[in-house]
Order: sequence, then C-alpha cells, then structure tokens
Amino acid sequence: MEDNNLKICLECAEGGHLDEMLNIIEAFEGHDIFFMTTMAPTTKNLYKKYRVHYVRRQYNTSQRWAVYLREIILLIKLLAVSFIILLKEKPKAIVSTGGGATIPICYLGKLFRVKIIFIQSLAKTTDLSGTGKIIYYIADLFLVQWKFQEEQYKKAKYWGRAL
Amino acid sequence: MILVLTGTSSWNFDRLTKAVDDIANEIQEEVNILGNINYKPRSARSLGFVSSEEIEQLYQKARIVIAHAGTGCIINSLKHKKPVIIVPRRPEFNEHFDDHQVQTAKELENHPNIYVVYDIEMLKNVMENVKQSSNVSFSKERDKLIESLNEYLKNM
Repeated sequence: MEDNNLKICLECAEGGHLDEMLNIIEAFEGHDIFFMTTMAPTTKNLYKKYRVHYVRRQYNTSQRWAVYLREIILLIKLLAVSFIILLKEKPKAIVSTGGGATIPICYLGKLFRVKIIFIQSLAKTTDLSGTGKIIYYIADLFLVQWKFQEEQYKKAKYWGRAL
Repeated sequence: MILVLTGTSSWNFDRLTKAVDDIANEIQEEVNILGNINYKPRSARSLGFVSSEEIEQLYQKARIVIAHAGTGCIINSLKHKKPVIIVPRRPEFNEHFDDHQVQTAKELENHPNIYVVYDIEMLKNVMENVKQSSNVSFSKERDKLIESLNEYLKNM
C-alpha cells in the first residue's frame, strides 16, 4: 500500500483545545502538518516545534454575534486570513478541536473541497459547543469524545478521546 | 510539591485558593498556585502566570496536581505522570458561566489517577488518600482515537 502523505491543517484555539490536539498528534504521523491557532501564552512557543499560522479568534459563537460590531470585524478579518491560508497551503484536510477561529476556515475549506474533521471538546458533556453546532452541518467526520453523545447526534461518532 | 492550577480565565476561584492555603498552613510541603488569583494566600505561594518553561518545571517537580476541571490541566498532569485532583468550578459560586466543568468532572470520576472534589471540605482528605503511582497514564480510549484517525486519513 503506498504511503498517503497529506497536507493537513490542525486548527485549534489556545488552551484546552490545543492540549487535546497535541495529545493525539501521533494520529497525524507521516503527514505534512501545520497549525492554525490563536496567539496566547500557551501557543507562543508552538512555532519552535511545528509550522504555525497565528490568527485572532472570535469570542462567542453561541451568542447572536452578528449583532456585535467587534465580532463582525473579527469575522471579516478571520475570513480573509483563512482564505489566504487555504490558498497558500492547499490542505487536503482540516482537523479541528474547536475554539473561536474554527468556523471561517472550515466553511471556506468546504467550498474548496477540503475534508472537514471536527473533534468536539472533552469539556462539553451535555451538549455540543457553539462552534460544534455550526460545524456539525458541514463536517465530513464529526467526532465526539463521550460515547453517550453518539446517541444525541445522528452524525456524531465516538472513536475514543484525547484523555 | 503541590501544584495548584486555577486556569487562565479571569473567573475567580477563591474557594480553591483559600482551601489550599489553609492546607499549606498545616503541612510542610511547598504549595504553588498558578492563575488569576484574587485571594492572597499566607502560606501557599501565589505565582500568577509564568512562562511555559517554568510551568514545565513545576509539573516535573510536583508530587500532586490540584486543578480546576480544565481539560488542558488534566491532560498535562497525566502527561507528566502526576495524579490530579480536579475541583470543578461551579456557576452558583460565580466561578464559571455554566456547569460544564462539573459535567466533565462527573465523567472522569472513575478515570485512573484522577480524583474529583465537589465539596471543598473534602480536599484535604482526598489529598491524603491519593495513590502515588508510577503508572499514571492515559486510558486506552486515547490509543483508539489515534488509531482510528490514522486509519481514516490513510484511506482518504
């Protein structure tokens, strides 16, 4: 079987989202990976070990963010940056553990036929996160990290968890 | 050394800080607290925010980690092979905006090397009963996820 070396974008916000991604990084061994993440104390040294595109996140996707000017401006900026990353890198897949920088690149990526793999954060057990609810519609693979969540969402698959 | 992690948000967690400070006053062991600390501890050391290199050293030096129920804290404790006592933030005490930390903690109650404290009065008791183990690791569920993702990407 020939080796399948893919360009993969690992997208996640700082903190727990990043920690979950890093804890399953072996899943991407053999592929050409780069990170898309937010600039924060927990991510600022990531570039020493991996290729990273730093972006600014949105703050609240579960509220009616369209009402807030700051969120609209951030969204436009994030859309532009995401577009540039997609053009430059041309990833075959985007794997995301979520956070405020996820939605634009996943939706744009979908337009460019990039495979969208979303991993719902461990932290939410009762329902999906704001981001998760929005990505749910376009994900090619929607993974939840608690087995019982599989029953709640038709598309959701439980393949294990990062912890 | 006991490492106490209150996370990176600005939500207060005095309930935990006060409790570990009281414990620090009674024991000989060094207690270091990281995060946005409101209450000023008398016996424990309040380190605030430090560089990732310093956090790495603190994790290595720690015997036990006590943390709010942030997935990052939990993952990193187990990564460094330290038993971790989770104290989930509760919205009724204004410690977080909802109860997802309590929900997370409930799911991890039976995970090896993870201990959960809901009632802060129980913290000292739980600390005294932590099993020091060289066998701290992640569950097989993690291996399953890595393999499954690996397979999926191979077949893309």
